[in-house]
Amino acid sequence: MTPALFWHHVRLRLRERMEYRGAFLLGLLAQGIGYAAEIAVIWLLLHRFEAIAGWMWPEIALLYSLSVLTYAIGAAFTYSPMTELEQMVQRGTLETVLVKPTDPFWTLIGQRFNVGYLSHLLLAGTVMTWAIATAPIDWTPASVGLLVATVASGSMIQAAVLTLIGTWAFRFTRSWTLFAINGQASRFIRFPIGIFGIIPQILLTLVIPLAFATYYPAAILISEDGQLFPGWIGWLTPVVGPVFMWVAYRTWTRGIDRYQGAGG
Amino acid sequence: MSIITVSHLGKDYRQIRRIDGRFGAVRTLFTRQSMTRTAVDDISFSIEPGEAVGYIGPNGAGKSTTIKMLTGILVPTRGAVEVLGVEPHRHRRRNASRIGVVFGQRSQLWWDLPVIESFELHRHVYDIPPERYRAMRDRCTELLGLGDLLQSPVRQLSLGQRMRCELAMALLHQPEILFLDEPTIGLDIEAKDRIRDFLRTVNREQGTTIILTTHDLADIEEICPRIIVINRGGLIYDGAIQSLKAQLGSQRQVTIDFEDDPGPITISQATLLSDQGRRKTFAVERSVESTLAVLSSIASSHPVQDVSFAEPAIEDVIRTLYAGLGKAVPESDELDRWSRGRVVTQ
Amino acid sequence: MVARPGGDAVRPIRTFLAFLGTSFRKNLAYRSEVWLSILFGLLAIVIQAAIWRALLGDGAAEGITVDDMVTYVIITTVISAVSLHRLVSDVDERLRGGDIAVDLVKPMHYPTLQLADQLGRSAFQLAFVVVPMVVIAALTFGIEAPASATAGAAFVASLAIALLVSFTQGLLLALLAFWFLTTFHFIWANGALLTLFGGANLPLWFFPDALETVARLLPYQFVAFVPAAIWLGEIAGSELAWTLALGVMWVAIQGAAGQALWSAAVHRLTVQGG
Repeated sequence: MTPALFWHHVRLRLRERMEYRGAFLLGLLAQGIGYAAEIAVIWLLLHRFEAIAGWMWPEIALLYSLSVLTYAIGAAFTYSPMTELEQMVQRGTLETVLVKPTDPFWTLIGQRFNVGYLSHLLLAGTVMTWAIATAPIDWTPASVGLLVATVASGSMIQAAVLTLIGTWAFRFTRSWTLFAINGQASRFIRFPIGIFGIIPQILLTLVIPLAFATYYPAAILISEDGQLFPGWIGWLTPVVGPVFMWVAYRTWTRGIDRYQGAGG
Repeated sequence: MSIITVSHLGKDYRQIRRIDGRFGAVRTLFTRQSMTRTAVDDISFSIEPGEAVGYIGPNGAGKSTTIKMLTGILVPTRGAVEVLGVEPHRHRRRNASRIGVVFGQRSQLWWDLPVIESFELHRHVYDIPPERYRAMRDRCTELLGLGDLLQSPVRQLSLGQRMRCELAMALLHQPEILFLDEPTIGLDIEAKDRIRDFLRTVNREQGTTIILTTHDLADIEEICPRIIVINRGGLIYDGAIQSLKAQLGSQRQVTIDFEDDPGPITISQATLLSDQGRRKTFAVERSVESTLAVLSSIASSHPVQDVSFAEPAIEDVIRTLYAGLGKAVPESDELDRWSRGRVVTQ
Repeated sequence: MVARPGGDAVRPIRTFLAFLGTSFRKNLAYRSEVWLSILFGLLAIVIQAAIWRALLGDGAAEGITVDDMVTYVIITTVISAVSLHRLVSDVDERLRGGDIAVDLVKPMHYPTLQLADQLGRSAFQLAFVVVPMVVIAALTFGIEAPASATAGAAFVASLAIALLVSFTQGLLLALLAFWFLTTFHFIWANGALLTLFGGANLPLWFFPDALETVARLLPYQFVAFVPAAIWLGEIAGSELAWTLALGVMWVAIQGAAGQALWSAAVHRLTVQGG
């Protein structure tokens, strides 16, 4: 599937959503309020206790905004196709994708690209702008590069996690709880990872490398540490995203093969 | 050179079994037993370019499974499939660009957008040259009477209108084979007629090979000279509809209008099917001799005004076919059979 | 018609229990995923416990220690597992699928039917998710016993209030679907208020004073903060009685609003045909 064809899918999807403009905008507003409440709780927490493991509010805000921003970008691509996959397998609508002469992964993502993450982007973008302006960051070409790479790579990590969960639907269906668990796991990476035990740190670094979307690069930017792994691994962030996304894509494709073999 | 070759094709499904019984809940928690169910078993046939073939069988016979293997969606467990010279599941995308697929119950159109948007996207997905696309789109629009429908959002279309659009879209890239999985399901008579006319035209004019599954045997009679019948995963008939009728449709229906109501009539070679006073309908053995014998014996005693014959309906033939194989077939009494048959026969 | 033993007064209760039991058995179909639900709850506890350990260390804030907070977190997680908010998404689904008509023709008060259905789900959650989750959490992090016998008894009462507050809230949101044909926005907005004022992530006693006053008047605290605070003995004496009374009042207010909205919805459905 060429980028132009993918973009054609996304444009149609956008126009489809615009058919229900009112509901769409209200949805953005409602989600915005939801995330604002989350930010408010963390702010209240820091307001009362000043710091968590030495991380002050602007620094925690950086973690939070990175987590929401990368999730929003990643989920725009893979959330809808992967959550709907379960139903598509059950109802057989996945077959309409499989009779197309295009890559099923990209066809599905294109068809179901979710443009509803605008309020996430706005909110996370605003918080992040404030956070990087306030937090003690030494701006060098390297740190700027790292931040940009973190947004891109982190989004891929988030998209990849959702893809892996979606793959589950091929075999076991009922992936809903797993998506909820992923929501829970995302809360780990909104705090300094060092406060969690060894097992969560290993899992979030080596198994589901979500910590590369927020903590490791942020720790380099603000020169903090206190985690199990050495601080320099944050520089691996630009590589982790593409590699993990590739793994997820391959796993998903194998899931499709298995589906074709077993017949659902 | 056959366009589709299927030999000794078989497909098993693996299913996870839930454990029933008193402690089933707890046991299912810890174990996952799977069992195998054979959906298609040892089916062989081949189809020539330009043929129109009806693929029929009762629910769960394995029709959809076969279609899915032919379109590359499913991988066969046993045997071999070749479509347009390649194995569809190994070259799914190459196969996909040369076939068209319409699912009666699954839309491929973008629900909230005007139909034309889905067509345009289809053009890009199948990489159709603009002139060819326009020519084909206009031809389908004309034949199916789509006209203004192309500008309407899909959600506003009736089922019949939507199916016409689905059909048109599936043909935009001029596929060599068109697979139709229950294309007329849920449609009214008019919509069905329109779709059948269109499919006949496409098959005749463009030489598009058509493979069609359906439960409405009128689809088959009007579109497909050849039928393949499967039941419980196995092939039970492959051949022309006419010869199947000749083999199995052993009775014909004779309706006689009398000048006056003759009252009850009993004739040894005929079964009375319906009695409306002056009009009586009998089931008679198919041979000319027995028909004539019945007619002459009746005419000798009662003045006859008019006589009409009806051939057995395809439903009856198919039912006889299933019944002859000792398979479970929905029961229906004789009268019901004939009365439904009459709708179909000319 | 032959009078059955038990008579008419008992029949609604029996029907209610029958629906509850059916719902419980229906939920058994999801049993193969219970370990995921247990994991879900445990993750919430792990995260919160770690945050409080980092914040409080060996000390205390406002007299609250890490052990208190771990118990607090376990209890709020339990309550969110059994709360009856889920009703909204169920009704939303049935309304859009047209299944709601089937519910409406049943000879029973629809909200009551829903209560039975949700309680059945909660009973399932309690048996298959909450019990194992609490056992694991208690063994890993430790859990404190209720502060006193009174606190224990009051906790049970507050749990009932938590269920009813969440149910009536879910009902109100669900009924809005009859007018707006969607509940998505309301779920998010209500969820936001619950996040902020419920106190699951940040107990009300750590709030700035003005915000605490607001939170202590709203119904959201009853679905998280209140039961946990009662267990810990942080709400006791006359404050306890007053808090429980406020909870009952919120159940009554939301219940009455739900009933009024329900009558209007029935009117709307029968008069306008949906």
